[in-house]
Amino acid sequence: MLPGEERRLCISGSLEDVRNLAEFTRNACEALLPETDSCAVELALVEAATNIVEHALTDSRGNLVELCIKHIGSTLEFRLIHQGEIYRPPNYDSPDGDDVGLLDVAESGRGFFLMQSLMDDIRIESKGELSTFTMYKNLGDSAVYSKSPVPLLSQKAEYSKLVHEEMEIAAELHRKLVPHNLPKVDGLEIFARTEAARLVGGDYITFHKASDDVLYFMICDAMGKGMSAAFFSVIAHVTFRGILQMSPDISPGAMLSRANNIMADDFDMFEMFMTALVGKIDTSDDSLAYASAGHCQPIFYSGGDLFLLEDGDFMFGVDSEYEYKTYHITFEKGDRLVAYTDGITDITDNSGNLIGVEPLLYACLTEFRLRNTKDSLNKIFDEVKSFSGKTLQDDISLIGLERV
Amino acid sequence: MGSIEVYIVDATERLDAASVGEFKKITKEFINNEDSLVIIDFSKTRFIDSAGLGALVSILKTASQRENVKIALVSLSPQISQVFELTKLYRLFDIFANVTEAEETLA
Repeated sequence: MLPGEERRLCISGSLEDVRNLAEFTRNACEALLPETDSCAVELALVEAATNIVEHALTDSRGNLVELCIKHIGSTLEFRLIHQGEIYRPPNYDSPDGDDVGLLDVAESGRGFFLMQSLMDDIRIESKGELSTFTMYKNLGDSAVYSKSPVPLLSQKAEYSKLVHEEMEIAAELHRKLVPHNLPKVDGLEIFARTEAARLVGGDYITFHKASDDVLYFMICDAMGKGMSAAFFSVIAHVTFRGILQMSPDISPGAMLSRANNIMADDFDMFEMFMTALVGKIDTSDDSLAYASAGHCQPIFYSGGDLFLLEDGDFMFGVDSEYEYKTYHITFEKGDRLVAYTDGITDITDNSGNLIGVEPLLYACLTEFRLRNTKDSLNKIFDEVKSFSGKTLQDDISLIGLERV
Repeated sequence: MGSIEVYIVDATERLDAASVGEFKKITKEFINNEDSLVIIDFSKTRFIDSAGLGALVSILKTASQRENVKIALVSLSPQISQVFELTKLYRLFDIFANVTEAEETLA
């Protein structure tokens, strides 16, 4: 029997015909199951069909039973359809215990116990005049008994297509997390751009305008790529949103401490780590506060010079009780801040060496002297992409803030 | 104590709901004799269902009410043994590898 194949047999309601059904079942399963499983399936089917013939087909509405065997994925489905009252097997929970006297041992009622023991799942339903008794047997490793490599492949392709479609949906949802409409804050130019190495990524960027003068920004990098990292960035998204809602004026250090604490169990469960940088800009007093959980050092551009900002705390997931420090700098007109993920600095060149942060520093210094933040960072982002080759080595994200 | 009469019953190829009535009838005729050992030989049997098991339990119960009547099951295939193990019914029956072994032990 091939994957996707379906075989049907209709029998009249006689016990003699149940034997035909047994033979039909045995032939269908032969190549798919090892001998013992084949016998188990045959027995379960005989039990079910016998019960239907003896108990369900008692009235005049017809005495036909149809068996439909389907090979779906790694499961065999056996469906017995018949007219008449649905057959509900008597309770027979466990095999006869040790302490039961011989005369108390039941002579009947083992059928349903056998079906439950021999098959992986049983479902009983009734619709109108028809009743359906369905049993499932998982092929498990014994699926290698299949003699048909080609349908298996087409089935695999079907499955891959399904997975890909699901991935597309997940990717779309993840892309929506990255802000498209950047907030507008007087006295600030904001730039953000991100691109995933795979369909979905583990980089996460968000902005939060707390008041006319105050803007929070966050950039995170979940360890790893793809779906698991993306999944984690969603957890971070919800956590950050929640914290900001509860504590609208929180310091960046307190925010990281709390987020790390809240997500501690999730990090353990998924054996995941994450780096994060949170900043809080207040244009009313020209201040910038930030805190970092093991994230790449932000670049500060002021007075025509570049500085890598101090940054030395643990990444998320290391110590759930860790108290993150808040660093303070002045952020005056003309100052710029660049934050990024290590996808930009951890690119390897042709000889396999990490290019590190220097090219980025050099590019920023050159561009910032010529262009505004947005144009400079777009150009740098494109260069990183082209240097990285056709396929990105890691997710890359870049944000820039300029006091204007 | 007088000698024991040994009777051998060949179980059918399929001991199921369709065949169990006839099988029970034949076997119980032997049980009606006192001082006997009834050996049920499964060497031809490759399928047994709950109806077959029920018949065997019924036969065993009847035998227990007779004077000195013993039942032995012999030559069970691995598939048949599996069903006895699953339902734990092997605990009730005296099961032997073959007829000779049953005779040597019980007769």
